[in-house]
Amino acid sequence: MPENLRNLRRKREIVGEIQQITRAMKLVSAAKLKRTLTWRDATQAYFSEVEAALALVLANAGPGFTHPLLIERPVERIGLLLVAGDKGLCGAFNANVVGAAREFIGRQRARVQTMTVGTRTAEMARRARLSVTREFPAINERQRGADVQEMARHLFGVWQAGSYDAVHICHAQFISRMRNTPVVERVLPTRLPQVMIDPRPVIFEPDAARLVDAILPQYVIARLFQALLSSAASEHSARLMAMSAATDNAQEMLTQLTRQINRARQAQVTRELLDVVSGADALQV
Amino acid sequence: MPEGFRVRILTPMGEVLDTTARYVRAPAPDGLFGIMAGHAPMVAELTIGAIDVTDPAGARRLFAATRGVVRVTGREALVLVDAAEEADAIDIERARRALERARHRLAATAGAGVNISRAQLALARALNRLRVAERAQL
Repeated sequence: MPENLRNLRRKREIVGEIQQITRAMKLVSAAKLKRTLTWRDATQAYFSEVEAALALVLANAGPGFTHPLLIERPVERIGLLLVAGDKGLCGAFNANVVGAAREFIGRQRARVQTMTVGTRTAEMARRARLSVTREFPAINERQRGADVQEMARHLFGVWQAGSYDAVHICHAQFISRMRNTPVVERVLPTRLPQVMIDPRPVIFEPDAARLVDAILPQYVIARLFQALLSSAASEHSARLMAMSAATDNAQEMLTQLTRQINRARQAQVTRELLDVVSGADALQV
Repeated sequence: MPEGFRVRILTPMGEVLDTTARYVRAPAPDGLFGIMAGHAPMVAELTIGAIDVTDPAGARRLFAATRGVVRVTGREALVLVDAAEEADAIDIERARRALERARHRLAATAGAGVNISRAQLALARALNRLRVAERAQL
């Protein structure tokens, strides 16, 4: 029986250590979530202004104006940018996004090739037997956006080369700290923003058509930023919830183990007491 | 006191500037141009260069910016660029290293076609940041 007591104490120690780790991860995720949401809001402001400028410029680009990033053609090949995380320990977050991508691919008649964002995403996509043509790391603040620009350059490159007739992006949409849902959106050819336009005359320098050239890529890049940051925020909140649940579960285990230990210790004391008492009884007889 | 107007510089990384200015000078592909209060509504293309913001008191702030556009409305001038950095926030050592890397890449990829314009752009960005940082130190 003392053997059992020692095992229980050791188990409680280990559970306690695990709980320290999950609690730390929970705190880290909370901090990262906060930073990511601040960044997302900043990007949102940029996106809205770029969208408004694009609408204004397009409305003045003249009838029949078109741009390589806007041309719709029969869709035979689709490029899918699959965005999830670099790491696990975030519940079903990665699996949900990859699941949504598989469902999307299953519904298409066109051939779909994927480009992944996030190391974990790439592993899961390969395991799901998706055809992966390019792997990107998840968005990182330290890169100051250079990673997203790189991704955009790649997308524009394959678009220009005519490798795909449409490019979609599959990512988790951040709804609240408790909820996110995977969505699939088309990025190329770009759908035009529906924005109210100020009818007053505007000077265009050099001209509206050239300006579309300058703003349209910015608009697509801003949408990439939004999708990637929405995914990052969802990942952090998913990890926050997973680690919070793990910490609670560890707490419950600790309570139970403590109870078991107390019971075992009490049983041992009782047994020893019984030994002493029965020994004394034997002597008296 | 001369009239001021609102100036904002927005990038995907966040807002770099939100202030009141008397005069803003920005680089267009065919030369510098200036914006003062009461400017007609305009959208103009910007190229890699320095954005020079003078506040109503006459103090100047300098920003190294990449390509983008500026939109002038009745109320404000809105600069939308891929990236912008205030001159005194530029890490000169980092900018030098970026310049070296860009030079290196340009030399290495000479003749490789597609990558050249990319390397040239990186070179122009690095040079711009260095120039702006050095101008601010004068």
